[in-house]
Amino acid sequence: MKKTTPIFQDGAHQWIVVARDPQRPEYLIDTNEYLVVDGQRALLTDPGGSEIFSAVFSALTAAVDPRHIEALFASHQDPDIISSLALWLEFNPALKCHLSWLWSEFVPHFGGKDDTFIDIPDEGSTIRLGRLNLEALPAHYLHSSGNFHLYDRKARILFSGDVGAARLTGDYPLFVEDFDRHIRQAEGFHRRWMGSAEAKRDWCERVSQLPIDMLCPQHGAIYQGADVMRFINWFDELPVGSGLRRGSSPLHAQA
Amino acid sequence: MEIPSSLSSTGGQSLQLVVEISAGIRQVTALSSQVNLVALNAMLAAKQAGSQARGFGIVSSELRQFSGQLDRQMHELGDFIGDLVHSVAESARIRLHVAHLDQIPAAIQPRLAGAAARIEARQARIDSDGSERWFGLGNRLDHALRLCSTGVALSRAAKIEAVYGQALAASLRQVADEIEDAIVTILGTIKQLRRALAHHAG
Repeated sequence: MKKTTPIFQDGAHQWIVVARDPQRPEYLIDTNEYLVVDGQRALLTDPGGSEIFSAVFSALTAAVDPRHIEALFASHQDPDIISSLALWLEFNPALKCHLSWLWSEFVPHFGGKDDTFIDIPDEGSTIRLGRLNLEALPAHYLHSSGNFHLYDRKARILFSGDVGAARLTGDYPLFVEDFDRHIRQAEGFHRRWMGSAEAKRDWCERVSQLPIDMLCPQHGAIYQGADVMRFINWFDELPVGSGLRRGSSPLHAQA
Repeated sequence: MEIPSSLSSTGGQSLQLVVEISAGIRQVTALSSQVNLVALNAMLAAKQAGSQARGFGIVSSELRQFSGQLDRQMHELGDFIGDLVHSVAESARIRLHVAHLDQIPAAIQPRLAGAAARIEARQARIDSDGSERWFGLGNRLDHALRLCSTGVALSRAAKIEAVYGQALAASLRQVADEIEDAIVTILGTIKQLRRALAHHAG
């Protein structure tokens, strides 16, 4: 079963990460889900694929009351992000899903109806959760063409979807401990999955202006403290859209 | 946020019950920790009081063992619930597949007979596993209820032993009352979960 770990708390305002599934089949990429809580109201980021619904739901249920989840935030349209939607709606048909307008006719193939989705315009939007104003920040082409990250200005936490992701194996720590070592495991992923140098530069410029204590990707380990800016600088320098040139096999890109 | 009062589907209702049981487990675990802590303090107090509180010390020690056993049971129940959620989710997924197949025009459906039969067989297997797991959950809750009855008896024994605590009798009685209150609340919570499960099965 996955485990829940609180990573931020200020009174009723919390961030909880759901991560590390030791029972996950090898053929499924491991994912991190983040629950943003304000008192009795909660939002779950990138709830994951249908294959891991039971692992995510069980882990959440052991720690919090999932009936408080009123909304999902899908950074983009991929199956490991949101294909569990139908099962979440089975649990609570009133759930809302915040998602780029670009995917509003695609993601319903995973489940949901007209009134399930709240379109996020290209320029981003503010998502209200209790007393919190969460900011959906544009991150288009990183890697999806309709892509958003979620910034909590109060907690100084940025949920960065696939940006910052690393494909790690074994029992790896929740937080990045050795940046230089860690980033080697993130490089291939970013070279291949991030397709636009222009979008990347724009994202790095915008995000570097924000106060961020934790940068939380959907795969791999969380960057905190000085590692956040280290990552942004590293990403800014990285040639992207070049994964194919590194090797002929997709495995090279995933290394 | 308003919690939806009625969830539309069997899968939704089952998940709702799982959430209720998990909340109960969290509550029982917290109360059990409280019993453990109070019983530990009671053991130390009884030791300081000497021979007149020896009986109270022995009962307090047994109460700590009870708390440890209850903790283990709740932990196992939590793991068991993970398996149960898996069954419920799988069953819901299969029902979604069936609903999609049902939308195919009747004239074409015979061509998918093989797939339909495989899905039906899988559904039967998953539902059977699920039934066994719900039944197993009931058994585990019954087991926890029996353990709690022992806990209640121990807490009452602590109240009796407190009387022999002479100068410490009043404070030992207060401790015994606190433990009894916690265990009676635990018992009530588990009974409530058992009733909810019976209602779901019915």
